[in-house]
Amino acid sequence: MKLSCLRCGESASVTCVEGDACLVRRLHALGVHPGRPLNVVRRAAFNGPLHLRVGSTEFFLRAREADAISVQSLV
Amino acid sequence: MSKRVALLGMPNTGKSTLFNRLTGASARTGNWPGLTVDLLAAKLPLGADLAELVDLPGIYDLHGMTEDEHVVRRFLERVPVDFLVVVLNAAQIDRQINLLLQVKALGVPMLAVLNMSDEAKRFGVSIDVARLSAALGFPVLEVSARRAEGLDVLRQAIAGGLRVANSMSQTALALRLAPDETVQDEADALLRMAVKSPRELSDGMSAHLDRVLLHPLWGLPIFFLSLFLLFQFIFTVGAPLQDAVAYLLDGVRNAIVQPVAHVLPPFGEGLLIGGVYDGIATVASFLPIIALFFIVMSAVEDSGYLARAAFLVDGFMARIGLDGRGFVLHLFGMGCNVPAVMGTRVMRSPALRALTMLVLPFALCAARLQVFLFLIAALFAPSQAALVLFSLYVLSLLAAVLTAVVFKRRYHAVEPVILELPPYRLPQFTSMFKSAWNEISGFLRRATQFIVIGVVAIWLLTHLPWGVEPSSPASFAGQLSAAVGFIFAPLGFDPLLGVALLFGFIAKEIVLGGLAVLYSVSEEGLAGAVQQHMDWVQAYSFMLFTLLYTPCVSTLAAIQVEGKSWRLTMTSVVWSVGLAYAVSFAFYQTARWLGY
Repeated sequence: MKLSCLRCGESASVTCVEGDACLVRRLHALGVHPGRPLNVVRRAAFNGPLHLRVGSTEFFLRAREADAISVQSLV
Repeated sequence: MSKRVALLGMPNTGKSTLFNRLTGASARTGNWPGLTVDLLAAKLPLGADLAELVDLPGIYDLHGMTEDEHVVRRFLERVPVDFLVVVLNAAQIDRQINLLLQVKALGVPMLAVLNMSDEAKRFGVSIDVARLSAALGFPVLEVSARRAEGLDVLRQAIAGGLRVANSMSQTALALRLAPDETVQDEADALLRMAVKSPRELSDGMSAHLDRVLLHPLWGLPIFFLSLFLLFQFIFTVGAPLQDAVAYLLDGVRNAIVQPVAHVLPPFGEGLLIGGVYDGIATVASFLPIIALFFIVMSAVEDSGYLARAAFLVDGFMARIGLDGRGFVLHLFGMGCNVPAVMGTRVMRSPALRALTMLVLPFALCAARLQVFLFLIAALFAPSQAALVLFSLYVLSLLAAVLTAVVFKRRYHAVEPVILELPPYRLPQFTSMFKSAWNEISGFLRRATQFIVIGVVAIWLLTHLPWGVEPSSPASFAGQLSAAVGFIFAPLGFDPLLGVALLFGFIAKEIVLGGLAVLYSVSEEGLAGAVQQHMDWVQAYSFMLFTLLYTPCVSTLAAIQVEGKSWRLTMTSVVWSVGLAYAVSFAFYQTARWLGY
């Protein structure tokens, strides 16, 4: 499923990152690649960006870019 | 020839702080990716030897496609480097090790620095440095640049590394920069072997603070309230300091400058005192407030709160065609527009950069602030002063929003926005004061160039042709203002001020210095002279015009260099002058119509 389906506070495992090559590279450099656990910390108001945590790295990205990331919920 | 060492690493690794620690140079350090845009180089003392240390821009990926990543590759291809120091944030070694392995593949002699080792411990990350170093085949050192720990060992290791000659030729290096093989497997193997980290990583303090400061409802009000309080602090502390400096400069004028200048013929004496000294002294008396502003901004920048501000406003900024980074640059622009315009390099899309560059000159910069503080103090009751200044800040933001809305179709861009949210950190005093000192020395440099030229030109215009009464209609300034008077008449202000505005195009500080020269009085008496020449409606109209009309020469030059488009630069001038005229006109005519 898409990352944007996750609720705030939920964690999931990254299954696939696809889209613009530059975006994929940047996400990879921030630690988002298949197999890594990822946590949606919060969303900003006004349909704003998502606050994510991967390992000890925290960053934000917009909902549209978040759709490049597919995840599988951790059970 | 001294050997060359280059510092390389991701943004937010404390690379610039380490650079400052190693060299003692006053390079600007920042918590903002891409701020270190110019390559800084400084002498690196290594015991008896001296090497050159170059601070490369922070990059995520050696083979990436951002401007900074191109810069680093171009640098490595063209400039021979004897040794590379790769800086990693120890707490984030899990992802930063990839960059280290990419650099290792180049084959240049190198070592790795694990910076922020104290922060890593707080996160519960432990690294077996000896094992990592053995596996990588080069030294790996734990350092804390903020606390200046481990620097001597680092210096020795660099000196040791330099004793081995770099046998890589530039052509071979360029060839190795090209391919992009994945290092993920190697990275995973190394991490499994030498790094232990808890599964859920979070620095408790930052998470707690974020819960309040990034609250969906209260986050933005809290941010603007803190901004307001910071400004309040700057003015409360700065105002008495400003009075003290003005008093001091006046004393110097009477005790030293006047007696010395008296040996000159009257014309020269007038030029030196009435032109150069008074013009500059008026501007210089605002130095304390500007220094405080930069100290406070640098503290906020170091704290990690600015990236949060970008997070909070990004949703709104997206609607007007910009993004959260543009907002943070706008805050930087309140110091000086020039570094803010250069900061747009963090954006990749030319259209987004162009739109941001059109918006940034509306940030109420320190130079304009001086003009406003002066006029507000002269013409408004102290109880209204804060409100008047606040209204100008609000208007500058509205002008920025309007500009974005008007031009967002022409400069339409979609760029992925990804921004790191570093843990909250306590600001460092050394970096705060270094930043303030940089700004003050920048001011002094400009003062000796632009401001002197501007105030001297205005003085000459008001005192020539020979023997004319200063600033009278017969003077050049008088003739000039009579010629352009019809332009400014509907805006309500003294056409003589048009002359100050004309030169204010060079640097906005000149508007204030020019006022002092035009009304040919020392700073002490200037407030009184201004009161004779305008009422509050005229003054506010003049301030509106000063706020909005044309970016100064330095800002325009930056826009031209960064945007490489005459059309963009001209758009910036024409749009802002037009907007300034329209707003001043509307305000003045409405106020008079209402009977003020």
